[in-house]
Amino acid sequence: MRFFLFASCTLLLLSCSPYPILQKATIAYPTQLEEIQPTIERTLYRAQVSGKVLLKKFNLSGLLLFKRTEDQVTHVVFQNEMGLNYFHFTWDYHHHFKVLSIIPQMNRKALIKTLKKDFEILLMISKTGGGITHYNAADSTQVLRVPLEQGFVDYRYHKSNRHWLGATLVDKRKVITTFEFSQPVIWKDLPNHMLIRHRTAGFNIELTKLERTHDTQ
Amino acid sequence: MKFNRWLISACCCCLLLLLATMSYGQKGFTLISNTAQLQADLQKSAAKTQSLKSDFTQIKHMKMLDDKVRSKGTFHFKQTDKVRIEYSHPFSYLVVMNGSQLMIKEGGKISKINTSNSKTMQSVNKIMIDCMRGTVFQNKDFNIKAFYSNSQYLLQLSPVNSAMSGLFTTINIYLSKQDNSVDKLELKEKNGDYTEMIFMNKTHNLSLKDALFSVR
Repeated sequence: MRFFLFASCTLLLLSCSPYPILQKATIAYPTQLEEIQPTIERTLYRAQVSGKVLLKKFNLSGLLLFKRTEDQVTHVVFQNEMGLNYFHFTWDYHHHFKVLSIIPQMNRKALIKTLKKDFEILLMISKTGGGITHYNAADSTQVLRVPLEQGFVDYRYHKSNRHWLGATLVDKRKVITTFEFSQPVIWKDLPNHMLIRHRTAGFNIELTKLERTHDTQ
Repeated sequence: MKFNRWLISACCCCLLLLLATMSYGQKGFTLISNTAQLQADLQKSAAKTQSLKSDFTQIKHMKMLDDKVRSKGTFHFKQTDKVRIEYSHPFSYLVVMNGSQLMIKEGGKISKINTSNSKTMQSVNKIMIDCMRGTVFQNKDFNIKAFYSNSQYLLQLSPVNSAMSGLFTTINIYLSKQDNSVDKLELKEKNGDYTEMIFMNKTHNLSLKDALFSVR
């Protein structure tokens, strides 16, 4: 929890100023995002979305399921507590994105684009194919930068144990989205708890991993 | 806000199904061509049920993913228009409906809505009350077919109202023939996914405090 607070405060300070210019580092691994991409079979999260539209607050909650099927398609399904689907997105083996279903109220181009980017950052899906560049950040952290069609993503990780600490989407030196983890995560895994904070889109997503038990599957 | 209203409407739809469920309730089932007797029986049973408490298990079946998500909780109903659905696993989530007021509590956050402000909500509310009063067959938002087997009745609800048909293709309510209470509810979606709610440990006419249904 302390780490979470510290990360939030740091990001809050960072958001007030232009995104810092970092010093390049000479690190050999990884060279491609695929090398550290989360391995997903089935992961279920409790999702809580909160935000403001035209100065009115809204809250939305449900279950968010990540699942990779045998045909190597990655599915992201968000449904409410009573089982109704909000949306169902997929990425095929070649990272082609598809909206399989979405409720009319969420069927907005800008919203879909934001959510698509969020999940691609979280799942480390990169269509640019660009190589990774490493940078030095604060004392104990390093940054792995992945170029996007617009801007880049900085994945922060701990220097000594290479645990993933969070991520930041940056465009034109402005922070667009931050992914704040309450605890460090080993590469190839997904965090137990995270806050996806959008600086411009007007909503935040909090995800809490649910244990895989016979009761949830 | 429109989206919040939609969300609440969706929840209400689920609630109404539950209610339909609790106040009364194709394989192996035979069509009942004349439902007059059944309608009368359901009304009689509804009149006898002043309150109801039940445990439930909810299973969402996802066809494309060949996957299921299970949750469980408790259901409370008190005449004439009070409902409380409390999910306890794998998360806490509470929905309370009291007259035209609806409250949702999730992760410490509370959302409230007055259902009389929206036509969709009014429509949902009407159905819920119909279900409680045993007059669901008179509701014009659904085409209703009834079937029977040795131990159950099956009410098959097909939405004719666009707000409902946007959410479900069919709603199946399985009623126990013993007391006309709901054994199981199936909510079918367009993509082949469906959610079933199975009700267990049903207790009728317990003394339930009004505080359980407080929406303040």
